[in-house]
Amino acid sequence: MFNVMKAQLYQTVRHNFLYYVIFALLCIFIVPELVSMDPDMRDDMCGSLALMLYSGSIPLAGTLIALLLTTYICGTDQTDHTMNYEIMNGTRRSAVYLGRVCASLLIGLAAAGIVIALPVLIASLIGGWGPCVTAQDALLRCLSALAPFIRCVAFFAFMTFLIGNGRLAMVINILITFIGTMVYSIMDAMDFDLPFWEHYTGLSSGSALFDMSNKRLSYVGDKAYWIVGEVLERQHGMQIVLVSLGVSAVILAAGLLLFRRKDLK
Amino acid sequence: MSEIILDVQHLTKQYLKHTVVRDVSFQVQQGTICGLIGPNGAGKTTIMKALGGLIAPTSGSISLFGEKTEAGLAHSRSRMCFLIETPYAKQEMTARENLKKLCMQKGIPAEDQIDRVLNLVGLADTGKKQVRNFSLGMRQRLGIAGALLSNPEVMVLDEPVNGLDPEGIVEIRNLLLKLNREEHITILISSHLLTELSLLCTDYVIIRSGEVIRRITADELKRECHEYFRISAADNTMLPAVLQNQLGITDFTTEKDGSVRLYERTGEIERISRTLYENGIIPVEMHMHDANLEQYYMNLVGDTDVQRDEGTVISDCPA
Repeated sequence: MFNVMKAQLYQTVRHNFLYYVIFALLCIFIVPELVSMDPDMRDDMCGSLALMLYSGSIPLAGTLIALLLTTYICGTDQTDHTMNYEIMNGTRRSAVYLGRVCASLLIGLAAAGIVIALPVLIASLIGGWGPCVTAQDALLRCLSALAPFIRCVAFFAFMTFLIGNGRLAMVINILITFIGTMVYSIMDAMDFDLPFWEHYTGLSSGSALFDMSNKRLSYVGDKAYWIVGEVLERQHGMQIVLVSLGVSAVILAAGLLLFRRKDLK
Repeated sequence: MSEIILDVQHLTKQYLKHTVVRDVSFQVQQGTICGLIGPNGAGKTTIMKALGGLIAPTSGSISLFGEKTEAGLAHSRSRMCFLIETPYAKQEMTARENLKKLCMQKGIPAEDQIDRVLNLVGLADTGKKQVRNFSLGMRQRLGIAGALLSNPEVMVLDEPVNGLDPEGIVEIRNLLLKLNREEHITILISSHLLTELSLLCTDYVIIRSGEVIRRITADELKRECHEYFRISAADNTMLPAVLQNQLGITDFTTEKDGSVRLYERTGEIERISRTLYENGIIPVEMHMHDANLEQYYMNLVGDTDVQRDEGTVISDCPA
């Protein structure tokens, strides 16, 4: 499994696709925020404020990174049949599957680190961390969000191995994410009070973990800042993490079972 | 007796109700080059995919190096290499990068192995050229280079010369012969270029509609299709007697139409035709039959439309 993972990392960093994804997502999520930002806010820019402003986009950015990179890493070798050679060389199917999932996770996390952390880091360099979100709270939310990210990677890997063609899997995964996001947005806009909504998808779990809607305007010294209060109780947050990890394990097991029995073209 | 390293027993593969391979059994011995012969859709690739672990047999068993269990088969496959349909090649990478990735995936030390196989297949000077800019022959050779990285004991090759130009075909043939003779690599190869296979193989497995219709060694094949000279005269009745009494020829057979197949002294055509003429027999057709695998195969599968003699015409009648 480690060898498959290493080979995938070697291959992916040599392909422009990874860099296009990072560049495109940075443009999609950062540029609109910068353009629409209140000029006063821009003057008071700091790391925690950037995280607060950006928090609504983080779950979708994370999901898109998981989608694009997992589908690419798990799908491209199926499309050109080079994955067949791993099996024919004596690599166990479980290693072929899990090696790719782990590589997707590692590369996805690195890309997410750049897309999500880079703006926050730059803002921190400009104006320090600031008071909007405590560093501890930010770290906790980011670490907790690993679980929904793993869930997304496991799901997209499952779909890609099920479909068996990288390009088709990309289209279907995008459609699923698009429809899912649309349904979620409509329900959110209509104030639908669905029970356990935060457990439905990796995206909804991520949205719950990065929910920073509970904020109030407070004065720190002579400046007014938005201060984010605690939305999720620790226990609730832990529940989201555990459900995400549990669902990831089920999806991984199902994918593995399916792939072990699948006839390859 | 050589070790049997590849043993297929009663292999059947069904997709829904369609049987692609039916009760196929054959063995490949160490050091041989075994040709899997059959038309498109005969089931050659399916058999090879089953050997490679890409598809699961519906019934029957596969044994590689005596291993039959899933773990044992996977381990045995690490001693083999496969080239099935598309050769291993990532388009956006160079030949060296492709092989480096393969080395990582196989867990073998890279640099010296890469140089060795690139030199062996003649791709050492491709530099930073991406595989997308390679010719088909170069891609095939890269596929073989990838296959050779781990010093395999067995190569399973599906149509390795497909789409190659004549020069490329000769290159691949010479490479395979070299690997078999010098590196003692056992080869299972499929192709529908029968002439090409006849220049390579020591054993043949002939498949049609998913079933093995014949297993034969190259020596047996040679005996079965040895050269003969066909003589047909205006009146064939006296032909056998003249051959036997005047020329002392005994190794011949008589066909239904009275024409004769001569298996000895085929180099004395001038003398034979003169003697026949002197005895009042006018030969109307004298053909040297260049019997080969292609002809043997066509006879076997019973394709009468193609069952024609492609022998060299020595003369239609005596001078």
